[in-house]
Amino acid sequence: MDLRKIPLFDMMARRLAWLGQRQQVLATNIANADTPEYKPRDVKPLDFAVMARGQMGPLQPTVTNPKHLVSATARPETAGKQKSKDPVETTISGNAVTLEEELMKANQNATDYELTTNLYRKHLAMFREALRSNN
Amino acid sequence: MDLTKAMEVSASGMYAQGKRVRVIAENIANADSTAEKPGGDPYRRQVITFKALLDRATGVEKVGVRDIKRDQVTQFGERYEPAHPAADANGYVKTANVNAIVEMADMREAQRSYEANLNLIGMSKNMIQKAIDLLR
Repeated sequence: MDLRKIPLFDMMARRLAWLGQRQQVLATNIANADTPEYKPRDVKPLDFAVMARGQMGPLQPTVTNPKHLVSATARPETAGKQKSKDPVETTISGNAVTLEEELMKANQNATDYELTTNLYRKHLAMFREALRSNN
Repeated sequence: MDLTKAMEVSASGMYAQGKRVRVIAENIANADSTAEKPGGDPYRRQVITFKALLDRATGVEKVGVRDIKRDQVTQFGERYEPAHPAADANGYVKTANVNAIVEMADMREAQRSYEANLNLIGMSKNMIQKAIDLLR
C-alpha cells in the first residue's frame, strides 16, 4: 500500500516538507539578526486550494475528437523564497530582522509540524484499526 | 534534509556571536592598556561586523564574520597621572577608547542572539524527533 497515493497523506507529507524548509529560512533570518543590510525572508504560504488542485490534477475538457487541443497541464508552483512583507523595524545598519517576530514564526512552525505529525499518526492508527482482525 | 540544514545555519549564527563575545572580552580586558612611551597610542577598541554568506556545499545562507576592525572614530580618553611612564609633558596619559557600558550593551545583544540561535536548534531538533516518532 503506497500511502503517498492517498491524497491526504501526500498532502501531509508535502506540508511537513514545506514546514522543514520554512524552518531553515527562519533559522537563516535569526542567524543573520546582526548582519548589516540583511532583510528577513519567508517562504510562500502553502495554499490548500493549490494543493487540492495539484491532487486532482487541473480540470481538463474531455477530448471527444482527435482534433481537439489538449492544454499543457499546469503544475502547481513549489514553495519559493520571498522577502517578508512589512519589516517591523529597520536598524541604522539596514538590518530588518526582529528576533521576537522570527521566534514567534519559528514557534508557530514547530507547532504546525507537531500538529501534522500527530494527524499523520492518527490517520495511520485509523487504518490499523480497520485492518485489525475482528475477534 | 531541511531541518538539519536549519540546525547548521543556527550553529553558524552561534559561532559568529561567540566570536563577537571574544572581541568584546578583548576590549574589556584591555580597557586599561596604555602606551609604553609618551606620544604612543593606547589600546584601540575592536569592532566586529557580520555578513551573510552562501554555503555552496549545502546551498544555505549562513552567517560569517566580515572583518574585525579597529575603532578609529571614538576618541581616546585622558587621565592626569604625571608618574606614569607614558605621561606627556603636562602629565596626561592617553587611555584606551573602551567604554564599559557600550561593551556591556554589545555583549548582552550578542548573548540574546546566541540564545535565539540556541533555541532554534532545540526547536529544529524537536521537529526531527517528531518526524522520527512517526515510526513508533
